[in-house]
Amino acid sequence: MAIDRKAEQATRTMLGHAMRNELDDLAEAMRTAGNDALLRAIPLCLLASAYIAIDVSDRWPTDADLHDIAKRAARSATELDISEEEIYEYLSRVALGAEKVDDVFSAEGIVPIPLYATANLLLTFRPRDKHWWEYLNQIWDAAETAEHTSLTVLPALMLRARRESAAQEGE
Amino acid sequence: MRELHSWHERGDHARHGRDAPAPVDNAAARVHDSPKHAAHDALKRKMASDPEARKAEVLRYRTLVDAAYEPKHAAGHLKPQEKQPEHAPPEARDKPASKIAAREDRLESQQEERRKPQRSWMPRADMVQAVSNIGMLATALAVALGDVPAKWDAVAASGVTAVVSNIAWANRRWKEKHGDRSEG
Repeated sequence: MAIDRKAEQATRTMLGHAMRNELDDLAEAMRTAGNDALLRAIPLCLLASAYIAIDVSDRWPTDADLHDIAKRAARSATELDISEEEIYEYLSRVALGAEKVDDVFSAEGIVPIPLYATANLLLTFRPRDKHWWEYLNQIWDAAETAEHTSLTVLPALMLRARRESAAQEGE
Repeated sequence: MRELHSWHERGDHARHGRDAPAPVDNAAARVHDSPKHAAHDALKRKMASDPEARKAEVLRYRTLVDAAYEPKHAAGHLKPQEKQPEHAPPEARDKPASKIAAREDRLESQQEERRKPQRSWMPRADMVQAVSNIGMLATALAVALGDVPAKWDAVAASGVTAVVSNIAWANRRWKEKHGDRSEG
C-alpha cells in the first residue's frame, strides 16, 4: 500500500492528540483536515492496526490472539472511550477481515474507532526501544517496501524468519 | 467359426499348443499360503485365542523397545511418539500467543511515552531526493554566479551533495538523541 503523505501527516497528528487524550485538539485537527483527509486516514489506521496485531502475535492472529490484544489495548494509558469489544470487532472484522468500517460500526464510530484503536495499539505494543511515532515510521516503511516487493519473496522471508527465530532460541 | 467365437467368449486368450505358457497354479502361488505365513497365522491365532500369551507378547515387545531407547533417553532424546508436534495441538490453538503479553508496555512507561512530542515521517527515498535536489540547486547557483569555474561543477555537485547529506544526517541523529525536545 502506497502511503499518502498528506493523509499520513494528518493521521499522525490526530493519533498524537488521541494518544494524549487531547480531545478538543483532536476535534480541531479533524475539522482542519477536512472530510477528505479523514476518510483517507481510515485506511492508514487499518493498515497500522493490522500490522501491529500480526507483529505482536508473531503469526496470523487467531481469535484468541485478537481477544488478548483487544483486552490489553483497551486498558491502555490513553484512557480513550473505546471498549475491548469494539477493538476486537474492529480488528477481527475490519482491519484483518473483509468488512468495511461503516458496515460494522455506526456513523459516529467510523472515524473515532479506527483512530482510538490504533492509538491504543501503538502505545500498548510499541517495541521497547522505539517511540510510538518511530513504530509508525516502521509500519509505513514496511508497507511501502511490501508494495514494491513480489509475493514470491514471502517463502524466503518466512524461511529467514524461522531460521533467525531458531538461532535466537539456540542462544 | 463357432469355435472361434466360443474362444473369445470364454475369455481364454492364452495360446494353445506347444509354445503356450505353463498353466499357473494360483492356489500354490498365493503367498499367504506358504509355510512361512502358516507360522505367522498360527501366532495370530494364538494371540487371538490366548489373552495371557497376548499380554506376555506385548510386555516382551515393550521391554525390547524400552531397552533400545534407554541410552538415547538418558541423553535427552525423546521417543518418536514423545516428540513435540510441529504445529500447535488443537487444545493450544485457543490460547493466545505468548509474545503478546511480553509486548505489552507497562502503564507507567505508556504514561511517560504519551508526554513525548511526536516526530513526522520522512520516507528515506524523499530524504535522499531532497538532499540531492538541494545539492544540485546550490551547484547550479554557484556556477551561474561565476563563483566556481564551470569545469568544476561536477566536482562541486558531489561535494555540496555530500555536505548537505551529512548535515541532514547529523540533524536527524541529533533529533533522535534529543527526542524529548519539540520539533519546533
